Amino acid sequence: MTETTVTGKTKTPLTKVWFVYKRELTSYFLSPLAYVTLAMFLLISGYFFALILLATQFAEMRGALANMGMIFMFMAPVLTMRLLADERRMGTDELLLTAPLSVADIVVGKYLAVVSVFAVGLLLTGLYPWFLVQYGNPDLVQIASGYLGLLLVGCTFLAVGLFASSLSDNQMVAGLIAFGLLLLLWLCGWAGDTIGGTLGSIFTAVSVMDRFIDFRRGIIDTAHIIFYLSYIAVFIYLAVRAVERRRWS
Amino acid sequence: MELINKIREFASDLIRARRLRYGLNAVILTVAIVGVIVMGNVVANDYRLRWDVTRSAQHTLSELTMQVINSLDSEARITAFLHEDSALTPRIRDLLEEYAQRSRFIRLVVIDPERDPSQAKAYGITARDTAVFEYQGRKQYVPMSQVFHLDQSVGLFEFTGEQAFTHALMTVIRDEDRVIYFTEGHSEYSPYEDVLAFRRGLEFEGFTVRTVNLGREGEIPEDAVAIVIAGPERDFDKKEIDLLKDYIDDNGRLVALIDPSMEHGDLPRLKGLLAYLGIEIDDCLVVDPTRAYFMDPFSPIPYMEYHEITEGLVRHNLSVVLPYARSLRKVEDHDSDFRVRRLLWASEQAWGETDLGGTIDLDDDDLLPPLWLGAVVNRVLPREPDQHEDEPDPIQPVAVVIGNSSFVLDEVIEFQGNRDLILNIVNYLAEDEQRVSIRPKDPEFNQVFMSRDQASKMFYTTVFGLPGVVLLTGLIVWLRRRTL
Repeated sequence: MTETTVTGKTKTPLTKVWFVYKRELTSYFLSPLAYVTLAMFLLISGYFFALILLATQFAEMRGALANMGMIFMFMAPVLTMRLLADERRMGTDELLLTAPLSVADIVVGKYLAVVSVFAVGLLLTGLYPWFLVQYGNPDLVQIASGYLGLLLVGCTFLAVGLFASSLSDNQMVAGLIAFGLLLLLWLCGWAGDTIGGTLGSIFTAVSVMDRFIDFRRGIIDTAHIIFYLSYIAVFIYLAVRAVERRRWS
Repeated sequence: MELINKIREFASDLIRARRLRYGLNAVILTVAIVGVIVMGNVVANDYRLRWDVTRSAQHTLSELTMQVINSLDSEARITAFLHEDSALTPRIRDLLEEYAQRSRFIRLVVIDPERDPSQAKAYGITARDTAVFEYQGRKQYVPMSQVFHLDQSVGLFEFTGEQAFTHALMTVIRDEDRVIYFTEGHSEYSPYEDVLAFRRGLEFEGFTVRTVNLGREGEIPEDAVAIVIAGPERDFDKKEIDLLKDYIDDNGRLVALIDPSMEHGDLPRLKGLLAYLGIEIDDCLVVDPTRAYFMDPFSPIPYMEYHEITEGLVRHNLSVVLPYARSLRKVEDHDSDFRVRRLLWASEQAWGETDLGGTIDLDDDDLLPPLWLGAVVNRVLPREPDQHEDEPDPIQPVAVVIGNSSFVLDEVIEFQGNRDLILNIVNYLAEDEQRVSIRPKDPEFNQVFMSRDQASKMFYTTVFGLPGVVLLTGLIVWLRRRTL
């Protein structure tokens, strides 16, 4: 379904998403938030990476990547809290919602923008494997596999954060909800380990951090990839529904 | 007026109903979608593609292992007791995880014996890290000492985990009893009276324990995985010795625990059997004034050779005490394919007392160090045609001889490492002929080489440099916006 814009260009669904994406991404990189959050992420990740490297003297990133995952769990709510919450508060959502954009376009576009911010952070951590190559003989494919896992895990966290921000007008509240949800997800892994039996295995099966381990070990499993994409899809869907509900009330 | 109100009421009722329906629809739709996604994942779990992209394919299981795993048809449980802080644990854990991932019948539980001592106790695990394989009521214990071999010639650790685990799996899948026979008829210790703890320890590890009176039965039972001679006081007769010799020649395994005796010429035929293996036992009582149990010089605490048998003991700093022991030695110029190695020995201040009358001190008749208290006998196997000349000869366990048997008595076995020592000895000998041969993977212990300067540079760049650059960029952007 294409529409004609003011400038006479036809708008396909893809360009609509692109429009939202560009707008949101620009907004991120013009505000201090992205820089401060990324800097903090890099500071703590770098610290752990350096510490582990100096202590073990191994040319690998299994421990570092695991830590980066945990650190990002705290950063994700910070990045996502403004995504859907502040539009309403600032009144700009009226503009968006009356424009010829569907809720899905908006949500997906914003999601992709925050994912891009995350991706930039990941790219910058490329410095770590670079150091490993300088001073050792790391298995780069194994490291790449670990990064793939980290990317999927991070995108999952961001999708959860996105959903949280769709639930509230207040950024703080959105951030807290996101953090709470992520903590619950993290606890699933722990619960799976402590509780035995079928209940325990269910917890392990839905645990986000457990499957990350295989990627760090250098194993790429289609079941894991589908798992993460499923989580992302579900939370994006839920976010869309939540925003739609707000639109109609 | 009333009509308008009625219409208003009706309209708002309608809107509310629609809202409710819309809300309900949304919930049902959401549940349905989540349900579909969950089902999709369940399917994806069963029909998955799994690639090991590591350089050394360290997570890829061999064909043989896959065959064994695929032959399972009911639940196989692997309970791994691993200390969290051990450097070896991640590697072992990874490998066991791979076994579990490759078969829906394998269930893996990893327990830290320090965090959960009750579970460890339930399985009879003391100090050594162990993986327990259970299948259809059969059990097999794999101590982690079997999983890492220090190849002393090269100084490299060889990880033979897959070999050990697949072998254990094969053993529990096989529906055969693994029986340890204690000889009787010469006043040996009985597994039903004197060494109950030893017997229970063996049973815990999946062995069946029985006794055999060789003189009466005239043959060694077919299902004997190893024979234990525990503290005989009378000699064996020729027939029995011949049976044992044939058994050993036919890949039999022997544990000989022989107590000291002052009589020269005691147990001559048994001594003959040990000589056949390349071991000569001395007629003496070892006195060690410096390394002994509570300063009782007749209960030496031996030094231990670093070996599969003693690895766990050395690592956990456990001692062994041999109350009343005799020394033994390698037979010089023994021409056979048996290779004898020292396992336990007394300190340099010890001596082998040959005369218990009068005062106990070192005199001319007594034996001087080196005094071995325990030895391992291996058989050297013919080399494989494709074996590299630097690789050591392939060997096979044959026997372990200790100059003391009371260390396995119920009253003494609980001392520090005694129990582990004897169980390790039996396990070491009891590995069977179907030695699974899976080439160990090269350990990927990738070292990093950094000078202090380089390490410093790395630290500051990653911790301060990178975030600094990001903050700087942010600052520039912010400043530019302000001046716009």
